[in-house]
Amino acid sequence: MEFQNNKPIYLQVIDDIKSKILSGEIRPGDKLPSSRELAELYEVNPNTASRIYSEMEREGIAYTRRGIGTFVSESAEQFDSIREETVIEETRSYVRKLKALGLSDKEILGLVEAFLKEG
Amino acid sequence: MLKMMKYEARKNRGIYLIMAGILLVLEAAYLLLVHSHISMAAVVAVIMVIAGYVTMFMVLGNGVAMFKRDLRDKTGYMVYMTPVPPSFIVLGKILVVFISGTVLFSAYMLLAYLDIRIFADVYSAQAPLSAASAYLSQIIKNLSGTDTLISLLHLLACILVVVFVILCTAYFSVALGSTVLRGKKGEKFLSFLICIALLVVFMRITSLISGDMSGFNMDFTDAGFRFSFSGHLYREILSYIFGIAAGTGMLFATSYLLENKIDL
Amino acid sequence: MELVCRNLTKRYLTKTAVDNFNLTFNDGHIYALLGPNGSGKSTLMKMIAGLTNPTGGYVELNGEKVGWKTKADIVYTPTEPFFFGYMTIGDVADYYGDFFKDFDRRVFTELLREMELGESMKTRKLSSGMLAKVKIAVTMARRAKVILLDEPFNGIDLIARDYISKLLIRYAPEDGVVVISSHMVEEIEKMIDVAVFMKQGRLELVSDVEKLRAEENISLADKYRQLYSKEA
Repeated sequence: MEFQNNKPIYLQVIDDIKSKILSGEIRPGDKLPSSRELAELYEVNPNTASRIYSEMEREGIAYTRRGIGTFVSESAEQFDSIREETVIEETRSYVRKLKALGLSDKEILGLVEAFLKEG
Repeated sequence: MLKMMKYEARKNRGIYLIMAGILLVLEAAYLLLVHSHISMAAVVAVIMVIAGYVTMFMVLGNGVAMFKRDLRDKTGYMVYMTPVPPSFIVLGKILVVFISGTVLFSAYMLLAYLDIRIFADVYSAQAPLSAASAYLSQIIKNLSGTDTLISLLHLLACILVVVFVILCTAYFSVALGSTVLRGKKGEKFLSFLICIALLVVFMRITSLISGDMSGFNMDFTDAGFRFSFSGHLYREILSYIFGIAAGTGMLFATSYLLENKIDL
Repeated sequence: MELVCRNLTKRYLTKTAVDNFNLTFNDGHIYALLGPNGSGKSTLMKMIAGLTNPTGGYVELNGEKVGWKTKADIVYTPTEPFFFGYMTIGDVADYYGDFFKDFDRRVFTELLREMELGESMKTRKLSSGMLAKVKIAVTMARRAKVILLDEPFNGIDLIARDYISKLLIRYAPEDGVVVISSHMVEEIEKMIDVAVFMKQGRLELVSDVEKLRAEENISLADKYRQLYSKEA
C-alpha cells in the first residue's frame, strides 16, 4: 500500500481497513490477522500495528479477545457510522477540491447532476 | 576455544594441502630416483630437509599474516563477533599454527630420515658420486651414536620453545600495529622494530639463565651426534620455562589489546 | 532489556567519529539510525557490538559493560560480505550454531526454503541480493536481544528489499531492539518506530515517527531534508 506523507501511518491503515469493511471484502465478525501478521501485511512497524487495533477498538469497529485474536465488530450501527463518516469525508474533500479549481456552487451541483443522469 | 581452533584450521587448509602436496611430490621423486640416479636422489633428500624448515616458516608466516588480515579486513568480524574471550581466540590461533607447523615439519623430517636410511642401504653397494651423497653418508654415520636420542630431544625442545616465543611476539606486534599504532606514522616499521627488540631482550635473558651466550653446541663426532648446552641441565630447563613464560606474557598482552583497543 | 550509551566517544588521530553520544534504547522498538556518510553510524554500531572500543564513555547492556560476554546477546551485521571465503550457506549456519546459543537452526532452514536457496551454495558466488537475504536470515535466526543492521539495503533490488523488510517485521523481538542504519529514509519509514539522527558524530535528534506526522505533518524524509540540506 502506498502511504501519503503527512498523515500518521496508523490512521492510513485504519482507513484502508475501513474501506475493505465497507466494500464487503471484510465482513462483520471476521477474524482479523494478528498484530504481527498485520504489521507484515502492510509492512509497518509492529507497534504501529498494535496501535491500529487499539484505535479500532476505541472506535468500536473491532474487539479483541485475549488469546484468541481481534475480530471485526458485529453490530450494524458501527458500519452505518463508518459509512456515514466516509461519505461525509469524501464529499467534503471533493467539494473542496472543485472549489479550489475555481468552480462555483452552482457549477458543482450541475456537474453532479449531469454525472448522475449518465448513470 | 576448540571450536575456534577447528575453524582456524579449516580457514588455513589451503596452505597445509600445498605443503603436504610438495612433500608427497618430493618423496615420490626420491623413491623413483634412489634406484636409478642415486646422486639426484641425494639432492632430493637434501631439498626435503630444507623444505621442512621452509614449511615451518611458511605456516608460521601465514598464521601471522592471517591474524593481521583479520584485524584489518571485514573477515575479522566473523571471528571477533563471537562471545569467546580474546585470550582464547589468540591462544587458539597460535596453537593451530604451532601444531600444524610442527606436524608438517615432523612429517618432512621423518620422511627425510627414512629416505636417508634407504639411501644407506642402497649406497653401501656403490661408490660416492657427489657432494650431496658424501654429506648424507656422514650424517648416517653421525646418527648412530648413543647420545643421539637425548640430543634430539634437547634440540626439539629448544626449537619448539624458540618458535613459540617468536610466534607469540610476532602476534603481539601485529596486534600492536593494528590497534594502538594504527594510523600513526611508520606503524609497520615501529611494530616490526618492537618485535625485534623484544626478541633480542628475550634472547639476552635466556642466555643469562642458561649461562652461556653460545649456549648450545652441535657436535658431529665419530661417536655420534651430540647437541647440548654448555651449562647444567637445570639451567637449560629454566631457560625453557622462561621462554614459555615470555611467550605467554606476549599472549596476555595481545589479548589485552584485543579486549580494550580493538578497532574493526 | 536496556541498552545505554553514555558519553560514548570515538576519537581518531584525524577525526572524531562519535562525539559524546547519549541515548537509551528501549525494547520493543525498531530504531533507524540516519545521517549522511561519515556521521558516525557504523562506528556507533560497532562500539555497541564490542567490535570497536570507545575512547571515551561506555555502552551498557542491562547494566553490564559491553565486552566479549555481551556478544552473546548482540548481533551486528555489516554492509559488506564478511563470511569466510570457503564457506557455503550451510557452513555459515554451522558456524553461527556453534558459537551462538540463541541461533535457531529451524528458523534459518525455514527462511532458506522460503528464499529458495540451498545450503550447499557457496557464499562467495551469491549475487548481492541473495547474500543480503542470507545475512538477514542468519541474523534474525539468532534470537538476539540487540540486532544491529548496518545498511542492510545497500545495492539490493526492490523485491529483495521488500522481502528483507518483511523478515525484519516478522522477527523483530518484543523484548529486544532492532537498530537499522540506512540511507533509504523513505523506504524504511513504515517499519521503524523511532528515528535517531546523527550529524558529524553527534546525536542530532530523536523522533517518534508517527508523532512527526501527527504533530508536524511531515514525513521522515521531509524531516531528514530539514536537518541535513545545505541551507540548514
